[in-house]
Amino acid sequence: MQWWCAALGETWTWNWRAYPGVWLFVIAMVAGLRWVAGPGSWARAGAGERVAFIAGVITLWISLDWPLGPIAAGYLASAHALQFLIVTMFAAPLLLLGSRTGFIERIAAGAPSAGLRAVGRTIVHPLVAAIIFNAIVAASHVPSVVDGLMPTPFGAFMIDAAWLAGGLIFWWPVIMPAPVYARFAEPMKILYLLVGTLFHTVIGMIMLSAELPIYGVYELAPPIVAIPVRADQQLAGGVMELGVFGVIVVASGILFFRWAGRQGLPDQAA
Amino acid sequence: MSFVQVPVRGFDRAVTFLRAGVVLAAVTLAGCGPTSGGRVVSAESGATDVSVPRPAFTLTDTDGMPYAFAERTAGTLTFLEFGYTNCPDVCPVHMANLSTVIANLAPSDRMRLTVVFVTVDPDRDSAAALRKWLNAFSVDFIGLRGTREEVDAVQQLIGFGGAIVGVDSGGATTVTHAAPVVVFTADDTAHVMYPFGTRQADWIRDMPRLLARKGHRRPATPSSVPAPSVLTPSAPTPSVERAYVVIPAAKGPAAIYFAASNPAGSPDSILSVATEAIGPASLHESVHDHLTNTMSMQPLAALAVPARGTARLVPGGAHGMISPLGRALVRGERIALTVQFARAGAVRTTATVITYADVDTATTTATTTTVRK
Repeated sequence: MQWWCAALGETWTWNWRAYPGVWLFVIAMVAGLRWVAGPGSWARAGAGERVAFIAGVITLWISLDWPLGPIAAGYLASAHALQFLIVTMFAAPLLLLGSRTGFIERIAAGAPSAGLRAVGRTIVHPLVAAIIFNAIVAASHVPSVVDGLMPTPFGAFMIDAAWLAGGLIFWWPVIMPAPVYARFAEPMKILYLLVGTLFHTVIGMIMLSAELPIYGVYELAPPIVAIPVRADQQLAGGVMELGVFGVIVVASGILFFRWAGRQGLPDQAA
Repeated sequence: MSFVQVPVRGFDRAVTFLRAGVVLAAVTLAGCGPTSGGRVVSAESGATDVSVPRPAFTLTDTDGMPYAFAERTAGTLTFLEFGYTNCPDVCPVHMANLSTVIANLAPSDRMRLTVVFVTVDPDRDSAAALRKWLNAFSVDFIGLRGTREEVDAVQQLIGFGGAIVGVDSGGATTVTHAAPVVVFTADDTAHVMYPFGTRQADWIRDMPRLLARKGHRRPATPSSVPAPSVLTPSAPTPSVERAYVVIPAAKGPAAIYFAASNPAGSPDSILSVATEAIGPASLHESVHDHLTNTMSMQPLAALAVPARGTARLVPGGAHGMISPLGRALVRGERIALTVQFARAGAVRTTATVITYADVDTATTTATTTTVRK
């Protein structure tokens, strides 16, 4: 039994396999987020927030566990890209949306120490958050890193955990109202989302245009479906390009209409 | 040499790599002596250095015809792999990567190499199954079969142990076989073997050096495999390779393309081509009329094949033509083809049926005649 999905070069089978590390990780995430949100925050949260949290937990679990987890780890680059998309662009923002009430209360109550508060404020500063997220995205797509880490459960776990951490940091300035940066209103958030995910476009383009397989772990994987390695890689690039872009467009649309709605209120009142 | 053991009852069992023989075999084979000019491939290549003469053996191809390996592939870049069609990992990965790399070579380079796949599981790999499996990668790949004893003997000529086909405790068939691709260059010697793990980038980096390799041919090792139906000619005989019959776009004649090599010291010529049960075939040549800027086809009495050279029948040049076509053709189908030489007599081969969509990757685009140095 493997504790985490990794690329072991084994022949793929549709027989279910247990990955207890994934379950423990998801349970730990739920427990950790609820603990940070504070006791009673779940009861005070609205229905939408609860739904978002549950959806975030489910998407995180689905993306990491069998079958997507092992297929993404060792068989198909396109599945790997899909997993990345789900973890960073769905699970992370949903978990933040689902923890909003508790997190806001905690922030209002103040951090236990000034140092921790300073670190927190720095990490979730939009510029820093975007840099951290893109650094994680870049590092986790370097061929030597992928080929070096994916064959071991711990290495694969490192990549998955880094994606989730990067996703939470990236989405924080968009979803959480605190710490408040006066000029970071919705238009700035839209700009942040568009600029902050430009690097995905670069990676997607590389995958779409590369003449040769980029990652040895997928090039040499036992065939799982009758799809050529290059086509799988191009599909991965498409998932990166269109998937991330689609999420950003939807999120930007929500932010825009929220902002426009607020702008329109004084006019209507007049 | 590395071995792979693969349970093959469905896809429900794990692959186990047995690398125990890798170092020992590599050292043993390399002990035959490295090439005099250093590595055939680049220094960074992950290939294992060996020195193995091109072996002489005869097995049966997927058309049921004897295939004399040393004679049919002599002087060409040849990739030899042992595997089986139920192999869930190593064999299809090797073949997929090779076919991709070869498809991206220049047509003139593609004409100069051969991929030969020998099944180590002949009980389950029928000729039809082997052909169908290979066609998924390339209709050009040669598939060979024999009895287990014959195939084991061939592997021993390379320095491999024979394949082990067994049944595990769960009732699944297990096949343990040598995994490397053995590459014979134009000097009829394998200087390198590529283990599993070789990537397309590795092949692409090494391919120019492998294609450029020239030198004195080494005598082929004597065959320990029975070759009952194959006669070894006393004089060099022409070979016909890369033979294709193209399915016509509409009802019409079907074109025949191939490359005819003449290893003899005197020139020869092709007088006729013939297919069995498909229809009457004849030689034609496409001629460009500069006045009207139109192409027309004219019957060709003979096509010269220079001494130690190659004549290619290609689109836009000399070609064979089957007219009228006796029956519908199926892509991937193999058709017996006889090429009549003026001096060497008849040479029989098999032509692969392709579509016009395959032509660009299957043939060159102009008639060329090359002379070997």
